[in-house]
Amino acid sequence: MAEETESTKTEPLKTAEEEFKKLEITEEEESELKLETSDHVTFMVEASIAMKFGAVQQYLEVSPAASASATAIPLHNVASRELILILEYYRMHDWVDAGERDLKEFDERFLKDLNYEELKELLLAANYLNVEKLFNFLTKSIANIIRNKDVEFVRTFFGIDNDYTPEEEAAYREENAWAGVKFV
Amino acid sequence: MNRNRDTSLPQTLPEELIEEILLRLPVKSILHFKCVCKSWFSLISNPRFVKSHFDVAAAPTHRLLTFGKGHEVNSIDIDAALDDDSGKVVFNTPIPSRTLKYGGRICIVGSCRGLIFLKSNINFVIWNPSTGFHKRIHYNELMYPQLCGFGYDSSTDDYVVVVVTLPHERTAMVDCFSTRTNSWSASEGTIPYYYCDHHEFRYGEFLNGALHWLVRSYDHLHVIIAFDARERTLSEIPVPRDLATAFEYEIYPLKVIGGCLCFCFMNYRTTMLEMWMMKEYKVHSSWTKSFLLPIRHDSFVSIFYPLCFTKNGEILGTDGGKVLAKFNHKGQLLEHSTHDCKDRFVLEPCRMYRESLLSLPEEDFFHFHVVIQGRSPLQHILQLCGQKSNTLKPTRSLFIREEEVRLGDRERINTMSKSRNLLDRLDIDLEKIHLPVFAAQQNLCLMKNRSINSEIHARTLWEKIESLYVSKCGNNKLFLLNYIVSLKFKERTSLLDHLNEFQGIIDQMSGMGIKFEDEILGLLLLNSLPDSWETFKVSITNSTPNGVVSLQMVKGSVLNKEMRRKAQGGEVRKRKEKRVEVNPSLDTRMWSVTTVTKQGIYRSIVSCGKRRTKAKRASQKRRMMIVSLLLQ
Repeated sequence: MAEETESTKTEPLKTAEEEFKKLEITEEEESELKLETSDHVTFMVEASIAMKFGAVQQYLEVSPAASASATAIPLHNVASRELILILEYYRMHDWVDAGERDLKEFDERFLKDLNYEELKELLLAANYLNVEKLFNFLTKSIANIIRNKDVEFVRTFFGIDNDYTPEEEAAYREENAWAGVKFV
Repeated sequence: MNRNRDTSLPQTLPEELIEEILLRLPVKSILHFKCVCKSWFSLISNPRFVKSHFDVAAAPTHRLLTFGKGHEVNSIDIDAALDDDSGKVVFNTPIPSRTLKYGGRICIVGSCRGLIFLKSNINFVIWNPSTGFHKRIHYNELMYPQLCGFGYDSSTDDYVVVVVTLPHERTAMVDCFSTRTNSWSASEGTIPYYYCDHHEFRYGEFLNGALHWLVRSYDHLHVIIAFDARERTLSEIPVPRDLATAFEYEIYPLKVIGGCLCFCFMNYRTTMLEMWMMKEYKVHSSWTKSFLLPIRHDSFVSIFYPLCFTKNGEILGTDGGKVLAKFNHKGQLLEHSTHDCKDRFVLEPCRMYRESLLSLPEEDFFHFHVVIQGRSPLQHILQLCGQKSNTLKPTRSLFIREEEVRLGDRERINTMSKSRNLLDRLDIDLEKIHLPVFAAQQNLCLMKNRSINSEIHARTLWEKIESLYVSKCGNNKLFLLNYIVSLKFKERTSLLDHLNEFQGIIDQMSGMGIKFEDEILGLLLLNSLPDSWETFKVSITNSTPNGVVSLQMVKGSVLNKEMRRKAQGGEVRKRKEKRVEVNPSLDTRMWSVTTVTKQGIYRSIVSCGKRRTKAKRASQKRRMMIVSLLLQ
């Protein structure tokens, strides 16, 4: 099913790619790379996008043969679900000639569709793939989610156990009381 | 598989990702999240994190400080609505109250990277209102009036406090305090200047690594003088002709607004407030008139002194009294608020600052020659290594010889009285700083050593010194031998730590070429156990084949025994602790020990009183025996 959504998403872009190819005939060969996710789904990804991933770059540096051969580049820590999202994000930001407003709208929609757990999974995947733009976008978004929340919310958000004694916690709260004024 | 993990438990993120997220939060949220858990606390307190949080500047927040009652200052979020009290916080300044009692008043001289420089009479304080960090600076020769300011030298990560004296018809004198060296240095300008009339003009504005003041030149024209925090030199920035000769107007102090130097004055001829900005730093042609505000004397804003831009591009300013007002760039009044500050003008102490978590960087104490009395540096290093803390605190036993105290390249202290002052200061600070300071009496050249002088961080300095001193000389070997023989495990401390320390010394010795047989190592370890372990020692030595112990065996059984002791539970231990409580000076265990070896446990405790001296002698003998074994 994952592959289906992938192929439908690529459809309009394929034409753009072909146009691009007409302009630069020399780069014909390195058009697609094979990526394999942790749940063993194989993606054919345009090289120009795949090369934006630090992890893919690194892999190709170590074994340059992979770009030419049909062997898939394994992405051990990324599930297909996340890779689809990441590709979607990068298509929007790097391929389509989108205006600033479109991008902002897209970002908002993109965030809306994710729950907190998915957001964290995606951040882990982005970190593993070493994709800077998305990584910055996600960390910033998570920071925005927690910035005006109270400590309890943050603990549940990140799954952190409180290892303070109540006295210690009270003391620290007292110390930075001014910072907590606005929080409810 | 991935999905299942999601639904069962919230995904936890590794620390480096948590850090990336926290870096993008505003100061206020970060401080609030200190009490999420301990690891967050230590992450947030880490100076490296604090610095990158400032540098990333993903969510910089600017606030305005104005004075309240007594010690209090109000901190106002400049982007919030002026009548919105939730954006207002009250802080207590760290100025001692006794200075205020005698009519002193607090002035906010400057702000730089979230640190505020406060002045009250002769008290200079650098203060971070967000974290509460503060440090006092001593300055004795405060003459009135002077220009002062607070800046930052990014090349050396050093904060500077600058005091400029303009003596009548003589060249300017500059005193500059570096927080790195914790010392003042003096320099002299080349041209005389005159003060502008009001004392608000005396507070410097920091921009582009330099402090700026508006003064009058020798021919009485307005001119900006800039003190470069890195070069430590004064230079002049001319202002447009109209401004230089604007004497019939009311001139306001220099401000940095929107990242540019700004010069404001009230043009009485046109009844307009004019704001001139130097759009490009030190480019004379870039001075532009960028904001005009018609002033009507019948309106409540009869004076307007711009302070800063808000996020939305509005201009926040004050009327020089108690009113703060916001205008848009077309000169329309958006909102205003009146502040309650007793007999003070808002104008004078208003100061914008960017919130940060920064403190002052550690001082470079290796600028001083410090002598450790009666001990070799190696001994000291080992003692501190034994404490195995990351925060290597110099102990009180550090003794600083007066004649050895010399400042670094920038200044020399010649007079005895000054060095006495310095010593007093050092003495206070030594407790606070986490920087190991060492110099051997016989190695005074150490500090002149370039390789050490260029080190900034305590840890690297530490390693350098260690490599210098942990050498293979005979004295060091003797010291290590003595150290390992007298090493004792203390009750109720971690046994593992003790074993690690023991192994550490052995490793160090083998590094020097001293190798022990396995049996001796085992005996040494046994020797390091306290007297309360005497039964254990005896049973170990007796149970060995041929009477030969090995290190591995001793280690194993020591750990076993400790486990058993722990497993036996609290009751036994409680009783022991109780006994100690009754008479803490009594070392009951030691007595039980000697008698155990000869007669049995229970009787010895009863009859211990008389055997005290004997017991001591016995254990000493045992130790002596091992030593002699070693020396063979």
